[in-house]
Amino acid sequence: MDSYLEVVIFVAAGFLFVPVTMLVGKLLRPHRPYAEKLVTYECGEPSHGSAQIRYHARYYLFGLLFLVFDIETVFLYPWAVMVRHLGPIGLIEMVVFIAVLVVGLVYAWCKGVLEWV
Amino acid sequence: MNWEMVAFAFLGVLILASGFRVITTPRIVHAALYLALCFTGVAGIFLLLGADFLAATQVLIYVGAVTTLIIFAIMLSSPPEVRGEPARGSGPGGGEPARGAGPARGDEVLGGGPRPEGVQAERGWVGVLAALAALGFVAAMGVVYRGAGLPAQAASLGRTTAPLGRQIFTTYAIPFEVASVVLLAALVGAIYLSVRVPPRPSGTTPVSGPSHAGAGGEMPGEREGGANRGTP
Amino acid sequence: MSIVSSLNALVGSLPGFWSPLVSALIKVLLVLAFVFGNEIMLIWLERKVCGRFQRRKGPMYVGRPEGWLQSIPDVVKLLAKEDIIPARADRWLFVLAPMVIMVPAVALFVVIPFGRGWVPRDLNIGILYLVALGSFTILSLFMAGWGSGNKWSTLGAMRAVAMLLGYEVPLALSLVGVAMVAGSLSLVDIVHAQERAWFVLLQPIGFLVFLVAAAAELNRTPFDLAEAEQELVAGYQVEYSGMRWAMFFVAEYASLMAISAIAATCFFGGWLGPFASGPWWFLAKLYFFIFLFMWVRWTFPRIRIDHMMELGWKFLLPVALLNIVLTGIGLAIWG
Repeated sequence: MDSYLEVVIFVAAGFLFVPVTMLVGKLLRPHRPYAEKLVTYECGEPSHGSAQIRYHARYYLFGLLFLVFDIETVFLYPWAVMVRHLGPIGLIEMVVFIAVLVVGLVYAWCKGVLEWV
Repeated sequence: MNWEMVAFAFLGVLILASGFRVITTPRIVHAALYLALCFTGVAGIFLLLGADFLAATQVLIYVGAVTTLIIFAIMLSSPPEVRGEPARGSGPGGGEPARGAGPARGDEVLGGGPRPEGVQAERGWVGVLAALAALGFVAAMGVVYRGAGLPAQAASLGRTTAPLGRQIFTTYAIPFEVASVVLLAALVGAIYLSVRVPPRPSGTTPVSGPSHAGAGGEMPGEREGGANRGTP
Repeated sequence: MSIVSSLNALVGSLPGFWSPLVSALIKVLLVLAFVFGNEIMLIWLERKVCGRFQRRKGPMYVGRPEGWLQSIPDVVKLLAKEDIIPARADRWLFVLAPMVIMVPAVALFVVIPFGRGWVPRDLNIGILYLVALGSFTILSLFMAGWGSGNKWSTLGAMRAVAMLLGYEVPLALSLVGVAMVAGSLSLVDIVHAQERAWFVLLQPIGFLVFLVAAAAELNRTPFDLAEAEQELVAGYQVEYSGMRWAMFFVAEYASLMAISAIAATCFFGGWLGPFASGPWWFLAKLYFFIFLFMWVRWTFPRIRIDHMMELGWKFLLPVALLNIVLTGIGLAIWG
């Protein structure tokens, strides 16, 4: 795919931008680490406990909602391009598709999943 | 040996190596991120095969949504450091006062909420005005769409997106609609499993901790990050 | 224009497969120069805008009129700061996260048409490509927050991811309306379809949804819960210092430019203007949107996280879906 050469080059440029800059900075910056400096920041107090705490299941539900509507979006793009060729039938198909997923959104809404408490 | 072969070899090694690391790395979050790398490599393979739409879909759904879902699933499981630790302060009174657990809180965004009674007459006028505004909007849109002179079809339609659209919405219309039902089933199933008790029976009661409890005990929410501090 | 054509002639004379490679390298250098050159000015502009909104003057001393060179000593200062990687951090993720966040920030510009024929590469899947790149932003924020090994940064990252999820969908759906009206996903085709009317007139609802969702995607103040200096100290950036920290800043401003460029291209006709169409129109619209986002940032207070999630899922998502259905009906009647 010749036309994606630019994408590859741009991605590589973005990826390598940071290490190159850090390398340049290495000539200028000091490097004097000691134990207290390397402690995890916690508002000035000694840090306690682990950073790995459990998170609420609601994150997972939002992730699942995102997945469902992301897939819907992917179906919408080819439809959007062809919408005027498909005519009213295509519109009805998509309205049905959206309606089924909106049922899921309404269910989540009624169950209080969309509340961030 | 041309560029495509080089790219294919690179992607192949990337996919195999990251896939191998998914099952060998001891840290589970790393495994999830290696999986994302593996997905990205697969998107590259799609690109090499000329399926650019599929490549973008692969990145959007697998690297974006599925990996995020896996990460969230990891974060709600209990890491060894936390296991066996008493979950403190997650009762109904343990919330932040700033979160404002008062009634009708959920209505604030949409501008709902209880209205005084004398507003009834005004509401009629507001309805009429809103209807007029909507009619005006539709009429204005009609004028704009008529006058916009939109091209019937853009000059350079992709070799992938447009044929895909035609196929999905004519030949494969039924599988497409079934896909929405499958997605709905997944969503409803996950919600049913994780929300045991209907959290707002009367419509105003705020959700309290135990209603979200997973298997065996209370789930420490993100707020309890502070509460866990006192332990090793 | 003559520079572009002579460059084309020069590159075309190269042998074999080197010619596309060299042309791609020239394009990336030009775009990087444009982005980072403008970014230096944007950082200064942001401080000036902030200052004026707060009835201060902002930077005044470096660079005679209005301190316009202020960002350059800042960059030197950041380069000279010590790079600290905390002992508890997950070293690999900590180092990788800023690299991953720069990828979408730079790669977004591949499909942006700066003027007629001035586009690094016009992809057929243009809009979908832009939306897909957002996935890497989500991942990199999590990598930064979790990799720091700090409670606050993990919390900030989790919030950032949850928030981005909620606004990524309305953003993508608002662009579906544009694709429907233009009949194409390519940004060049979208600009050409706006010869008679800018899409902000055809897609007013979609445009408003796009603006709000874009402000949230940019993590700027009404929606900057992921950073929230006052509660989470700085979210996923807590443990970063010096130039490594600055990379998040650089990526944020590059994304600000990219999102403004997308808004200008998809809704305001890109390089097209009422007269004398050309790249200057694109630049003017780009800066209009950048200023708009700065204005919003320094005017509104941060919103609460539950309001934020409700705005995304309960308001923007249904409105964006409604917009798609209405646009479909409109196209069926008037198209």
